[in-house]
Amino acid sequence: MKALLTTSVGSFPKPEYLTRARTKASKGELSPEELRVLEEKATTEWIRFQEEIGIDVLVDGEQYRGDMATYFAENLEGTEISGLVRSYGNRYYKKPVIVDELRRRGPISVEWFRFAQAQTKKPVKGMITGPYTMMDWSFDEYYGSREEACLAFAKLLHEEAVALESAGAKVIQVDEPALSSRFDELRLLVKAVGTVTKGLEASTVLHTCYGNYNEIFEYFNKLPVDQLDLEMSNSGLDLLDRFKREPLKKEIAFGVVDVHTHVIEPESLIRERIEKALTIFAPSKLFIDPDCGLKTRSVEEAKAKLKNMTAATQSVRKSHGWT
Amino acid sequence: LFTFFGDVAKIYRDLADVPADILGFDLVQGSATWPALVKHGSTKPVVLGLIDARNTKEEDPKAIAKRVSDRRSSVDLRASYLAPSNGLEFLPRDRARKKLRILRAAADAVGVAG
Repeated sequence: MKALLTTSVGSFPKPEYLTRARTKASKGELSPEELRVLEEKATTEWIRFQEEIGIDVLVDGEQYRGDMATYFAENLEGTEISGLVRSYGNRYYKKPVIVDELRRRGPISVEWFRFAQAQTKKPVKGMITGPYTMMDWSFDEYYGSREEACLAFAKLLHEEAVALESAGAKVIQVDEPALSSRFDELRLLVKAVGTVTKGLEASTVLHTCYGNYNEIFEYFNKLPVDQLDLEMSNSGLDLLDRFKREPLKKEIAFGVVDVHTHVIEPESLIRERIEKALTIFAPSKLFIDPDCGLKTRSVEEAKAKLKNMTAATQSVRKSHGWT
Repeated sequence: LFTFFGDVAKIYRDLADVPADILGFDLVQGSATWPALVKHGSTKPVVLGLIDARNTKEEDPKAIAKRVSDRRSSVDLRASYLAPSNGLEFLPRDRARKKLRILRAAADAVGVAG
C-alpha cells in the first residue's frame, strides 16, 4: 500500500561553487550560459541525492532561483526589481515592484521542470510561488488594490500551472508562505489559489509555514488543493490536537524536521513525530517532509536532515509492515 | 504616542486622554482613522502618517498638502508633524529617500514640520 510517501518542500542549499558563480554572474564576470551549466550540475546532484536516499516525490531544489517571489516576478512583464529590502532579521531580498499590467512572457519554470524530470523516473513537483504571496511580497505601483494585483498574478500563474502539467508534472505545488499574514484576506487567498489550480488534473499541493495556524485553521479544508504541506516541527506539533477535533479532509505533508535549526534531528525523534502524526492521519494520506525549504541550511545539514528523515520513515513503514 | 499597522478609529476619542503630548497615526494602513480625525479634530498636536512607508508608489506632495491643509480649522498644524505611515526600513534605500523628499515638499507646501 502507498504509505508515508516522502517528499521535500522545494529549495535546497546551493553548493559553494554555485554560490560563487552566481556572485560572478551578477557582476557580469560569468555568462548566463556558463552559469546555467553549473545550475544544471547542482540540480542533477540534488536529484541524484534524493534518489539515493529513497525520497518518493522529488523537487528540483531551486538551484536557479534567488528569492522565490523575485524569480517569478523577474520573468513576468509589468514588474521591476527594487533594491534590497529587509525580509526578516538580517535577510534581504530584491523585492518586486508592479509597475504595469502583469503579463506572462512565456513559461517561467517549465524548462527547469523538464530538465529535472528528465533526470529521474520518480515524479518531480512543479513549483509555483502562489498569487497571494506574489502580491504580498511585491510593491504595487499599478493596481492600487491588493485583490486586483493578487488575481492578476493568479491568472498568470494558472497559465504556468497548465504549462507545467502539459510538460508532464503530476504534482503541482503552490507556495503560499504569506497565507497567514492577513487573516482578513483569507477569502481572497482561497479565490486566488482556486484560480491557479482550476481544471488541473495533476495532484495539487499548497505549502505554507510559520504562521498562526489556529487563526487560519477553519480555512484548511476550504483551500482548493489536494494536499496541505505544513511546517509542524518548528511549532512543536501543536496543531495535532486541533486536527484530532477537526479532521483534515485532504492529504497532508507533515514537516518532521525543523529547517530553522542547525541541530540534526536524530532518527528516533523523527520516528516519534511520525508516530504522533499517524495517530491522527491515515498513512495513505500522510506524506513526510521537512518543515519548509532547506535553502537556509548548509548542504551538509540539509543532506543529514533529509537522510534521517527518510531513514526514520522507512523504519516506521517497516515496523507497521508497510514496506 | 504613535500607533501604526492599522486604524484606531474606534478608540480615537479616548486617545485624547492618553498621557502623551502628541498623537501619531498611520493614515495609510490605518486609513480608517482619517474620517475620525476629520470629524473630531484633535486638541493635541498630531503626527500625520500620510506617506506610505510600505509601498514604493510615490505620493503627490500637492495632494498630501491639500489633505493636511484642509484640517487647519480642527488641528493645530503649526504644532503638528507630517510623517511616513511607519518606519521606512522595509523600503529600498533609494525609495525611502524619495519618500522623505516628498514628505519635505508636502510639509513645506502646508507649513507644518516634516
